[in-house]
Amino acid sequence: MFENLQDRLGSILNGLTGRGALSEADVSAALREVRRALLEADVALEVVRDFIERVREKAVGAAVLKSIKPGQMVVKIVHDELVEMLGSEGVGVDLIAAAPVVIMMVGLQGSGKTTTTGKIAKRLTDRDRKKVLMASLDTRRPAAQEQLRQLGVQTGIDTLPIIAGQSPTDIASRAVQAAKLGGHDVVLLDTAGRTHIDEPLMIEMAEIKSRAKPHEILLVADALTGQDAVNLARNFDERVGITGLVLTRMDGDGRGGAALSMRAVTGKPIKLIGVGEKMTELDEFHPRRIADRILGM
Amino acid sequence: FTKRKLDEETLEELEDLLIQADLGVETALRVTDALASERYGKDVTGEDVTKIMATEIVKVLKPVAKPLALDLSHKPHVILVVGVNGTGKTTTIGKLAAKLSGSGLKVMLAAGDTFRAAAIEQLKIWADRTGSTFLGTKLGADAAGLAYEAFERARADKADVLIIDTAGRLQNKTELMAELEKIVRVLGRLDPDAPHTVLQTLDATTGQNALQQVEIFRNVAGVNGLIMTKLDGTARGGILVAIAAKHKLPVYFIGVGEGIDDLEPFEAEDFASAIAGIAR
Ligand SMILES: Nc1nc2c(ncn2[C@@H]2O[C@H](COP(=O)(O)OP(=O)(O)OP(=O)(O)O)[C@@H](O)[C@H]2O)c(=O)[nH]1
Ligand SMILES: Nc1nc2c(ncn2[C@@H]2O[C@H](COP(=O)(O)OP(=O)(O)OP(=O)(O)O)[C@@H](O)[C@H]2O)c(=O)[nH]1
Ligand SMILES: [K+]
Ligand SMILES: [Mg+2]
Ligand SMILES: [Mg+2]
Repeated sequence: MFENLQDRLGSILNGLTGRGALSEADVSAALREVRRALLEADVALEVVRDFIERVREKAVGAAVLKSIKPGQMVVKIVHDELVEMLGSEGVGVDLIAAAPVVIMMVGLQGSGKTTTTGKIAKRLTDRDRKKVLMASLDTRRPAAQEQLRQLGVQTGIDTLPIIAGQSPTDIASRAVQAAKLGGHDVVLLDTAGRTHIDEPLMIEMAEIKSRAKPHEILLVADALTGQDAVNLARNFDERVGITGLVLTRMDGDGRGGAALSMRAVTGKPIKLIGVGEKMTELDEFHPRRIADRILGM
Repeated sequence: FTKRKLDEETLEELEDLLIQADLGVETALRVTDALASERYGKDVTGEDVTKIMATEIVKVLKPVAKPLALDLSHKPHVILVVGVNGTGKTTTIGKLAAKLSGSGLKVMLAAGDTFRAAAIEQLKIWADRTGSTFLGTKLGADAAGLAYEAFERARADKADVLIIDTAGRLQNKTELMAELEKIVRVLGRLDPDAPHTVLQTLDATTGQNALQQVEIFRNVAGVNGLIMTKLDGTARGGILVAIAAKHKLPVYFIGVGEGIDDLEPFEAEDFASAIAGIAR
């Protein structure tokens, strides 16, 4: 399916082996291949354009080292730049705030919010010894609240009792209140999925925020997302000001270009990645690994 | 744009537009090449361009735009719904059940997702909403066993259509795909033609990976029809063009929301126009 970028660049640049510096023309030819590779990995076009210009500046005139072929040289520059743009690793969920620390999960329908809520709650409970409360504010999708309740039972983590007919904003207030009374360190708010052009639901999301005053707002997005990644990330960020990203379904065989897209347009760190359906399948983000994957290496 | 010459620069802009709709580089190039071979160097208006591009896309999509036909000589006609996690299987089943029972058919829904928390309860609510009968089991139970039992029950109840939900799975998970294969095999024991329809849901927000999804689900589960969901957002689902070109599987419906009526027939012209950027 996808030829290794290095092979492709090698055949374009092989005239240069081991001598001189990369010329403008060499670089342009190579960058056309890089552009294509990134697009095939689902990096959004506007992000690809920006990326290519950054690489161009670094690559033109770069001396080709004796030990390294020009194709490899370009791949190295591309790889380094990808890692840089993807951001630093180990930016965890921030809990430095007065208890109960409120974490709100947002995202498109089916992106993995409820599952990730359970996973984060479990992680904070097991690794950080926190007392966690989970609450589902999803009054729309059939059995959404029941889903989180069951995850609570599975993981042994408290969930806010379901009261039929209560609005999402009222549930948010009740959750924070219950966490205060219950002595919880953290309260996780799972919200209903919404498309970023659904105005009433985007307004609702902002209302939940002003009611619950979350310390973290995590945008949960599918790693398999295509070009729409920039639209959704930008819109969610503009409407509520996300504090970080969680990419789910990283256990798939997608190339994961959405990671770069969303990171680039929001500037917000990728805090965690979902690597399976089980409650333990949550990992830290490693930019180097994602860069390898985007490049098919 | 107003009238201008169809040159390299314009073609590149158009290619970019198609890439942003998720057609992928190769398919986008195929469309713009067709455009170039027709009008290169000639004056074109923006309207001409979108029209020709839409026409090229329609050429690929028209043959796959088919209505879902059920063979009611099978009692029941068994529909198995498969796909990657969160792509909209359960919701689409609910919407489909509403259409079928609305046309007077007796529908039964079977909760073959025995893995995800509250997947059974979710489908049960859709069964109640649509006046369908329902069969479920416990979380963790064998999905193939449930499918077998549902088929027997639907037969005994003289249901016209049995729709079986399955757990979402990524196509690269061999073990989970083998489980799906087992469901298909078990159904075939009761009727060699069953499942008669195997529908795969594709999420319009998914990028190039959707091609791989169809490839593998088709091989493993014998997918013979597609439904694209979540077209009510800003994603255009252009990967469907590449999928149609490669697999030629019928596309029956599109999902345009979370409500019971938000399932529309797939129309090649409308889909192509949305991609080519014609506002409707
Ligand atoms: N393979 C895999 N599946 C995942 C991952 N995260 C979530 N899922 C699955 O994706 C599907 C949707 O997950 P949910 O947590 O229900 O998604 P959601 O965003 O809460 O969905 P809505 O509330 O309907 O908007 C389920 O089948 C999950 O098991 C992941 O990292 N890997
Ligand atoms: N906006 C929109 N949302 C949809 C559409 N179809 C489904 N959804 C939503 O997408 C989310 C996932 O849908 P499900 O039907 O649970 O998906 P699934 O494939 O059964 O998920 P798993 O069983 O967890 O793999 C839910 O929030 C649905 O309401 C659609 O056409 N448009
Ligand atoms: K998705
Ligand atoms: Mg949810
Ligand atoms: Mg489901």
